[in-house]
Amino acid sequence: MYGLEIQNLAVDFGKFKMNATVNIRRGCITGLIGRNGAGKSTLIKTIMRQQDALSGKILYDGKPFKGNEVEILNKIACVFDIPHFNTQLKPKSLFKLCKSIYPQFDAELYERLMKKFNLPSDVRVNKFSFGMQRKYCLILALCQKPDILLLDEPTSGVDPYDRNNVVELIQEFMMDESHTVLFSTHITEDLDRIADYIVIMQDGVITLDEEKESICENYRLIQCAELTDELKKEAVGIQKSMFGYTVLTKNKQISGEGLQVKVPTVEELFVHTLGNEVSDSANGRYMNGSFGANFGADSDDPFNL
Amino acid sequence: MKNIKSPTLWGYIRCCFTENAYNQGNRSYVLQDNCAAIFSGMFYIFLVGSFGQEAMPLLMPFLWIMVMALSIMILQIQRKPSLYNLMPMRTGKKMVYFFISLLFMTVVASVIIAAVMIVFAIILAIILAIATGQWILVAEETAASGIFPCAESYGLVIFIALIALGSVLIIAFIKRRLLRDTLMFLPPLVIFAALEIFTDLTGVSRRLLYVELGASPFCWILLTVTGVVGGICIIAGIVRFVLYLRTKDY
Amino acid sequence: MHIALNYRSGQPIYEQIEYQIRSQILCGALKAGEPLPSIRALAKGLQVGIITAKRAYDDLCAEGFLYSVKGKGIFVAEVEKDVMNAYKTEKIVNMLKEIKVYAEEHGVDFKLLEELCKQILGE
Repeated sequence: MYGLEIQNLAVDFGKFKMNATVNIRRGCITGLIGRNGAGKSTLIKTIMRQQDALSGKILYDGKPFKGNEVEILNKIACVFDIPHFNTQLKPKSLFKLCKSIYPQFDAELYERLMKKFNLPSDVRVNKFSFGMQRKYCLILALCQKPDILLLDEPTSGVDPYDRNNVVELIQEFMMDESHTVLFSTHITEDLDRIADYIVIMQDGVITLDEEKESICENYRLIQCAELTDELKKEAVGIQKSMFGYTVLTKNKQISGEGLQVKVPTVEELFVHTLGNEVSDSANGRYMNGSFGANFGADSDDPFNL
Repeated sequence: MKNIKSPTLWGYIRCCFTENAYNQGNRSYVLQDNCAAIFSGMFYIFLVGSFGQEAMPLLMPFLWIMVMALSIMILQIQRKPSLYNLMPMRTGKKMVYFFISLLFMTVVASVIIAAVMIVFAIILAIILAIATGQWILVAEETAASGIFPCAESYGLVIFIALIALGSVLIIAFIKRRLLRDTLMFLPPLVIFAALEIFTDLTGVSRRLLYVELGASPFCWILLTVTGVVGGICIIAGIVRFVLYLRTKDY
Repeated sequence: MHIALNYRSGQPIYEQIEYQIRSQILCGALKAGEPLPSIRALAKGLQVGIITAKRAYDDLCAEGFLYSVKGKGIFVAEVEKDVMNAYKTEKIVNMLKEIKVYAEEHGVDFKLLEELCKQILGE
């Protein structure tokens, strides 16, 4: 049922503290979004045992790490925010190295993907462009034949054509029902399309873990010229522009003249709930409360409007 | 049940060879561990020299290797994602493989060192031949100071210190991990070789040379410095190592 | 089976998928008993989430347009004629209602509407 079960995973860096509890479903793609510094990379590194947690529990496909290290490290692959290998090497040397570290490394798949992404085998990886490095990291992760794939911004810096290829590869990986994907990204269009679940992380804490279709459907994005009292009361997040306001609300019944109502995309959800800044400096503050606090709660005019 | 395999010993050694020491993280950790090894090695030489134990220097490489082993182990526990850290292998097995690969590298290093010593000896002999006009290959043991001006203990000590310092700096910048770790064997052993060759070629008694060295206050200063620096680095390394070995239960 | 999705239309993807599959069944492009791609294959082919694909198929199964056989897959169901007609006419009725509302709002004479209808149907 769950590819990853994470309970109270705690990390303390002084200024930044994390305490994450979330279950990542097997057979589905889970998107992880959050502002920069929310703790997404830390969470991923901690799951991969590359960052020590102070306390908490992680189960990988139901198994604890202690006692199952060999199996788990074989079956979980990750694309980190920076390449985790010696980038002074050329792909052909890294290929040989990975083959000796992961005995079931798939050489055929490697050849196919190198060709598909058009990556040279004879050039040092530190000479690749940023996008090329991301693609190469993904190739190495996939050729490990994992069951769980963790991706930390896999399409960042990748051009649109290859982003499509990356998305396709993730979906190909998901053809097997026992596979799990968790990927953090800022490119919310990818999440809008292929994510099954959305997890939002704020200040080291998971504030949302829902099916993508239902969370978007539970909200409405209203475009209006003026903010009525009703809108202010029901708002979860407000953005102001030169031409009016966009208000995110849970209330699906709001309608009226001059109001354009639609189901928000993941991006719109993100922007309206996680932004803390004034989008237009004209009038005071537009504070978006913590998403978790507003989710399910009746907001009592937390906005100074 | 799928047969999940661990990398072989060769895979392990290969990974060590290609891992980038800096990829592991902190440059200061790398330098710290280099210092631990080299300074403690030098400390040992001076200590031995000061007390004139003639047989002990022969044991030095091997004792020093154990110090090195600790410092290398310590380097392996940097908490940054790396192929080494991600290797699907139990910690215990990794340590066992580490010792085996260290032994393997010791053999390789010894061969290299022997070759270096031979070349060094030949070069020194040629220089002496040019300087003195005669081939000096064998000399009697005399109590006199030799031909070199640096038979004066200060000079020799400075010479040794410079080699060691130079080695630390050069090796600190070599990035391929196991190559770097192997080369870290070299400085104290080159120093040792230099001393041995010097005494053989010039006829100065080894014991007397060490006593001379031991008598100089400059030497005692160096002894203290290397001992303290090396000691601190080793203790810091041991602490980190112990913390790493503690199995995280999460 | 041909499905084209519009990510910007504001209409949920699963609804778009349902609409297009339903249309193709209604107009006969998809025949009864025809197999459809598996949920995962559909998700991969359209580059949508697996749950999205599942929702579309589940809804269509509930409406009676598709049925699933365990171990075999998803197939087009034999839809009764009056059910099919009801769906066909429902959309047209909705569109006509919209035209009526528009005409009322913009003061368009109903007689003119009739004329226009005849004209277009005659083409």
